[in-house]
Amino acid sequence: MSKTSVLILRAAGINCDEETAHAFRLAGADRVDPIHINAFIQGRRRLSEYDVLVLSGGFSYGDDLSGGKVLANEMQSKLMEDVETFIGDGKLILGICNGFQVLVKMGLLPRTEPGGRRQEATVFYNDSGKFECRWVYLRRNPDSPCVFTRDMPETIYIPVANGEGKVMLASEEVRTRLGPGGHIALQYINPPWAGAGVAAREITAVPAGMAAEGTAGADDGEATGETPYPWSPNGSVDAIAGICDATGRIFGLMPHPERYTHPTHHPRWTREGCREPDGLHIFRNAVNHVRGAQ
Amino acid sequence: MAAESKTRRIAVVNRKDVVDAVGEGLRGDILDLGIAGIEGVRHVRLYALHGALSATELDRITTGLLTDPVTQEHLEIADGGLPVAPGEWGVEVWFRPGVTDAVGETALKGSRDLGVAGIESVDTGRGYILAGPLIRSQVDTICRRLLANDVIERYACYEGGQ
Repeated sequence: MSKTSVLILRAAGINCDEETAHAFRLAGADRVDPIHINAFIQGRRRLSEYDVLVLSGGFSYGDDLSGGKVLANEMQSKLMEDVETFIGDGKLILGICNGFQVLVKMGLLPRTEPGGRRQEATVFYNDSGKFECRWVYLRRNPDSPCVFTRDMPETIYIPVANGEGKVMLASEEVRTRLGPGGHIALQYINPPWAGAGVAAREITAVPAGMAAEGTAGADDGEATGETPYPWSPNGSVDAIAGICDATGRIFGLMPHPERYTHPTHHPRWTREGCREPDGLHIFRNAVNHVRGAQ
Repeated sequence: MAAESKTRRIAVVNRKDVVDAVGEGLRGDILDLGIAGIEGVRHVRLYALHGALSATELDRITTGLLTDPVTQEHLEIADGGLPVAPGEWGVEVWFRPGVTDAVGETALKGSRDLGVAGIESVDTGRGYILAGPLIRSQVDTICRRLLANDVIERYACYEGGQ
């Protein structure tokens, strides 16, 4: 069987690198290295040694200027040639939370045109003005080319933890390109139990083209095209939680899949029983893809 | 000709169609102080860039680092302060000399990552534009009790149209 090597790129302020490395080891990766970005900038290590590049969660450079911005600029100015080669070789890139912010601000997501570098979106402060840290329900887009979410359950449950998680798009024109390309891989949805009878007017609002379970036809039946707070924790356009590029090999999401890799991570496992952790599935998909591609 | 070393003050603010969650939260906090006249608050990020910067380099820092291209806009402000309309108050909060400015250090690193060698240091501050029929004593109360920490920060407030 082919070996799978994963790089967890570290930088000042990144703090989810060890959990993410643990998730990839659980998923069966043969080699997982959390390594500081300076090793690559100084030429002591090379991205080409790896099959998967991961930008994990945290607060790179304190998110001092805005989430992920400084690390995005650093990668653009010092590593972009290597990153483009990495992408061109058909390898995988995953950005989680702060890593997602970095990928978006580098212009690698949604990257509706292959090779494009224009920043087409941003990840901005939550509408609530607060740090939102809790479990959320997501709907997987079955029409997305995303490698990481392939064959996952239609409804996914994992935690978010961010103050800047609101995905906004540069223009309406970008928005029209996201849907047909399957770029929107994950959307926040209402919980399955928040159906008819629970604040029907607000709760019935679901992402465009996606009917939440148990909510169809409730009360006025008018979907606004948005999932309301708190089910969408940040007010993202079209309730976007995760985006991939046109190839499906670059993927970023605001929620933290590495925080649901054991059945006992689930907040209700003692009452609802153990099940396959949704987060682990994302890492397994990456490992399996690499093995299949080699 | 080489650029002259000087200080350029930049204000970054959300575009008008973008939710200003910080400003909205502060409006509620000001109401909690018992100041009912407050009608709106806009939050502004302030940067003082010190160094010999060409117009191109200044643009590279402001558009490539300090301002989100999707949600924010920026302007260079003169010593007169923030652009405050009649009926509004401008407030600027800056660190006192000698206080570590960690965000400024990050902005300096980010500027150099963009290849701007002439940047020497960056100071950061916060600005607020308060709307509503407020009098100076009320604005002082807002500054002292909410917007500025007098131990490490100094503030200045001014009325629009004056």
